[in-house]
Amino acid sequence: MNIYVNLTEGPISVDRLLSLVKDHSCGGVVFFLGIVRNESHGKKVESLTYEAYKPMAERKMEGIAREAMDRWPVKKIAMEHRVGHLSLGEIAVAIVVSSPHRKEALESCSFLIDALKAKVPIWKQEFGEGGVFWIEGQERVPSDHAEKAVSQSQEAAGKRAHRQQL
Amino acid sequence: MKVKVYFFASMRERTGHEEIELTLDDGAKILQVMEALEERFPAVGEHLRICGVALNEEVCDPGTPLKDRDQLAFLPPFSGGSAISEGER
Repeated sequence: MNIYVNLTEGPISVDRLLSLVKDHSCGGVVFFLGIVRNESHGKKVESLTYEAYKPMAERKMEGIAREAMDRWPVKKIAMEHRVGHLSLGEIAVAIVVSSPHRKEALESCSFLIDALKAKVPIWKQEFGEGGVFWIEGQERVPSDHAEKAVSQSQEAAGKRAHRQQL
Repeated sequence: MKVKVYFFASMRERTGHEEIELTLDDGAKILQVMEALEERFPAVGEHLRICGVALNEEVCDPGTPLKDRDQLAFLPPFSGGSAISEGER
């Protein structure tokens, strides 16, 4: 199999991904590793969680890997993304490409990480300075809606019951 | 007909649900689901309108008609979304 994609709750193994893309016809292997960083937009970050729409995310990852294979003569692609809670320094995402020569591996790896970030339904929640936030596009949305939602849906149910009585 | 609706990230918190099942009139469109959600979950407010919509795991237009057992997902802007504007610049 020339394309491997996976969302995982466990740690990402660089060795395992390398073994998946190694091929005797390939003289170049390029890795991109996204690492949990201690800062975001000038605010301290202590940890992260990632949440995904899993079936769609894996399908989209496979789709962009196919697109890369159409555009560049690369041999094998492996892409893995973490979901769940991650500490600083952990690998959040890994993209590995092998090809006969380095140029196409470098270019397609760069394309793959940009496309993954833009097209794959994965959301990041930051824990750190000032509280907990969902990162949704350019927005940092405070992650404190859970309780509000419950009280408001009870309110809405109350309103519906009231209307039914009328 | 019945459809499943999935929520993620802040939308999951705003609704208090990961997924719900809705019963709709035949011929209903995604827009009607959005109206029903806005009434049932006031905390959703305007935020529903900035979400992408996926029908059976493919991004689609809110005008799309639904059929029985469809799976609908409301997708807040993805966390890596800034890469789009960087790429387009």
